[in-house]
Amino acid sequence: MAATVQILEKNGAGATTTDKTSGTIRFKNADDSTVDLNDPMVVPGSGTDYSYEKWLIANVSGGSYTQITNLVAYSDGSNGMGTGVGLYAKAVTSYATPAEGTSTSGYTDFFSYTSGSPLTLGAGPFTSTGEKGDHLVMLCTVASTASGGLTASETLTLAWDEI
Amino acid sequence: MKSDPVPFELWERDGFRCASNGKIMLCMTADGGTVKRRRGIKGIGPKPPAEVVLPMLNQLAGDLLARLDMPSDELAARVAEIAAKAHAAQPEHVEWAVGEIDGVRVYLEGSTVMVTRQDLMP
Repeated sequence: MAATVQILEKNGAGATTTDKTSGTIRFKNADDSTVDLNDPMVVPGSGTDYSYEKWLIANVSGGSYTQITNLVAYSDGSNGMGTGVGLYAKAVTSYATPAEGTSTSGYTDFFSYTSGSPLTLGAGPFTSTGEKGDHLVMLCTVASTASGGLTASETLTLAWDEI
Repeated sequence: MKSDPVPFELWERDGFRCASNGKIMLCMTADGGTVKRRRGIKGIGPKPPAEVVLPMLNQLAGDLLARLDMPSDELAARVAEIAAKAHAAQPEHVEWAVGEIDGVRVYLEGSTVMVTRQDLMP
């Protein structure tokens, strides 16, 4: 039996976790995992509106396996969210309370991470249950050139090797 | 609804390392050959169907108020269109078995076999 792997979103100073394996990850101007229309990102008159950071991490909740290695995350390589909307990512070892972004310094365009050039979240080997690898920290930006309304969704892929 | 693929089971016996999902099996000689699972979850973070359906429902409600005599065929088609959007794409679980020997990799997904030197990701 293989490992049961989830993707968790962590929020607040207490790192409250929410299983987002099958759920929506909503970038907003607040630190919570709720998928609603509260605290939306706005199209600024000038400059850029930054979302709060999204802190995501892989979690082995059960199953049976020997070890996990080569934990990576990547996009489909194409930003489908529309003009002026960006998505950035970085890998961070230790959790910190999600903050509102102020710049994309230290981040990389998420859509530059593809199956051929993924973001490494941990070489491993990882064993047992619990959170594995680095956090995937993501930030959404909205420029003044963006259109209002809900954007098209984008999806991420989490992949790993397992024996 | 599409069901998740069965993860490969791994074992070693009689000088072979093997992986099988019950339908197809990959075996490599244990001297220099490796077999592992390459797994993934594609499509994490889909849009919730409610956000797709709600504007369509609002549009339909407005159209119905304006045209209470909307033909039944047209109404049924509009409702069916909304119902079709209620089925959101779910994340796809990917289950591969990967054998490697001397830099040549053999990938198994379902009943498909691919042989390459490339390090492919799902």
